[in-house]
Amino acid sequence: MFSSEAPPGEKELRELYEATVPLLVRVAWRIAGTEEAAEDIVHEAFIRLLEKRIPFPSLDDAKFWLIRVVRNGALNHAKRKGREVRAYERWWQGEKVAAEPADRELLRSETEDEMRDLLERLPEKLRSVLVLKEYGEMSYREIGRALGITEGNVKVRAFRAREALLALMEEAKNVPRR
Amino acid sequence: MCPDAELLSAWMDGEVPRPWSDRLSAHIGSCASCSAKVESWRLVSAKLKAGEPLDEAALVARLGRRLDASLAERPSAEAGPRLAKPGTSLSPWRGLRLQPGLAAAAAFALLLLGGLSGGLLAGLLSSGNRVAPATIASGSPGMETLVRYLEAQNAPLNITIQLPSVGSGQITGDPMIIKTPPIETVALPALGGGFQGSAGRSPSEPGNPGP
Repeated sequence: MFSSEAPPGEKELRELYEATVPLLVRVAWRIAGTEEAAEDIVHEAFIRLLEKRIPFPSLDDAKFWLIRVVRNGALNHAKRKGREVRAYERWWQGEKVAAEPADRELLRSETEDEMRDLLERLPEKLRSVLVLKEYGEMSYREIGRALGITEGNVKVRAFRAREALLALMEEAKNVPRR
Repeated sequence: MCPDAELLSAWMDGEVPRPWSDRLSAHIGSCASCSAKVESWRLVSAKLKAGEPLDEAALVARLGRRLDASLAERPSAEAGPRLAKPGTSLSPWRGLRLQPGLAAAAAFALLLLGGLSGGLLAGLLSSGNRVAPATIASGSPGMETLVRYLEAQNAPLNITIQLPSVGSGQITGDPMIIKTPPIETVALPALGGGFQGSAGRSPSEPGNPGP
């Protein structure tokens, strides 16, 4: 990728791209739900990086900026999509007469969507840490840098996010979804 | 005594250094309550990661091609993130910190990105078409020229004022708005008064909550 006679600056971009893109793609895909959306979100983040021309002290800072932008973009996408899907489901529930066959495929995608839904209900502070930990497979130190918080704070939030998500999962199991 | 639950969660993430991690492992192995906690978080983790695997390589390759295409379209040869030179201000608002006198002396590259149909990013995302940035001034246009240009514009604009990368001028002062909107002569409708019949209200009593 990127042509060999790259103008100055593209070397950095290439380095940054190679160091971050697998991580960004994973985070975006896990939150947004589709490869198509993940591609759009990561692409947009790089374009913004180029258009904004923010001076970064180091490539690491640019990397953490990208992580923040992708995380936000993906969360926004999931939110929008969640609303659309829920509206569709309400309509579908009304139309449906017979029960659906307990299709494995269906069950699995429901779990995925459900988890995404529950994740969306976590307070943003907790959700971001958990997303970067579970999907980004980042260390507490890296997450702290990406979010501008201390490692100790990351530790606390990772724990609280897990507990909160667990509580939401229990709730979803016991209480029929409206 | 059982360790703090936060510590268990950190242990699960591989964030507890030795020798404490070994001691924790031993404890968790023998404590039903602690191992149940860790198991429940592992379940959360597994549920979050459930579903179709991602074809990461294919997606990364597609993105690379798309970025190549986007970069090829870029008018500027200076692609890539800018790394600040040591000792320079790292504020992202650096480009906006202008003082009229000094700013006029600095060389400007003023990129005006047409504020049409939701701006550049929206355009890029929806159709892949980019709104071409129009460079209206370079060199030293002076503050007068810029202000006159801005006043002639009636549409929303995204403006990038780019200072020279090798600066000779000193940048001081706070950001300021150099163009104020025209003064409205119609007062805002008073609270509870509805939107009818408020146009005649004198503009000299702003915020007056009506009788």
